[in-house]
Amino acid sequence: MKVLIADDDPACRKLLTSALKKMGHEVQVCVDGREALYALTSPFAPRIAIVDWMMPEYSGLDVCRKVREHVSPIECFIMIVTQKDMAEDIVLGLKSGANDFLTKPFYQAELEARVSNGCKLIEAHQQLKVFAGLLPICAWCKMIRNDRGEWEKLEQFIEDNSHARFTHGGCPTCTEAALSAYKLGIENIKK
Amino acid sequence: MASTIRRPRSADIECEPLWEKVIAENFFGDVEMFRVTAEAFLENTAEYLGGIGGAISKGSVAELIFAAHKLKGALQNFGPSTALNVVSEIEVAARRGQMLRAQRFDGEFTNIFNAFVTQLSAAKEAFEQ
Repeated sequence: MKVLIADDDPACRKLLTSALKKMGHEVQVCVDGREALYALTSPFAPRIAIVDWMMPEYSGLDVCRKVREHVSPIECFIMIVTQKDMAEDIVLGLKSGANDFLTKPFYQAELEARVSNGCKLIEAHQQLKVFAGLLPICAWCKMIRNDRGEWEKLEQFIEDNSHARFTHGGCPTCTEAALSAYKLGIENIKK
Repeated sequence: MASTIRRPRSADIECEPLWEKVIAENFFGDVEMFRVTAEAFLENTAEYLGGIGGAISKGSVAELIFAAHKLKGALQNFGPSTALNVVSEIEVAARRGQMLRAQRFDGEFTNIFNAFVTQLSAAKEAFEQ
């Protein structure tokens, strides 16, 4: 997943960039709060952001507040980097719209776990969005057009895009109709 | 107070930080990650020190808090405790508006910082080989 790093310190940027690339993420780097705000509110914004608390132009808190005016916490996972570990600072950060916190120096397991949590939240939200938009369905056969433009069975589409799995049974109406058709068929054979 | 700072002794400067430990803990055991981060840090040493010195000469509390906090964050990646202690004192003094106190620490800090830069530079070169 693409991760935005916003930090005015070149050494911290290098460290985070190397660490995230090592974890397999694509990285977009910003050198101050204004640049980060612009990147996070653009149409192709990264969905995970690691933003330093203290930056020129806009602080990490300012970036969070302003991003949240446009983008919800489930659409963009923002982590604020701080050297502060006081409870009130964490509360202040969370109130400004941050999803999570990272403290310096960074520890591999912690960084991986927190970024991974962010990825899971974003992926879950993207999955939900599949069912939130308009889905083209054939009015007759009920086949559905997927995002590759192919027509597939409704049940296959749902299985592909969710954790739901289908078992096959019969509703009373269809069971009765099927039995009637079966009986009619038998009677016709007898005749 | 100056007495609360752990004063650098030659033994401290020679033996800290232990780079293998620092690389294992702060750079995920990745020497290349350490090397590129150290390079970025070393390229900006003048800016780091200049930020603190400039803020003190201007008498700007806000700039000094910002510069000291930034440098503390950058130093934390490498964990030199003596330099971190002194820059923390500068930040605390600035936050309390005690510019004279911060200025006193600044002279001491420059020497400690320069000693650390020499060590870091040597370590970077050593790990390049």
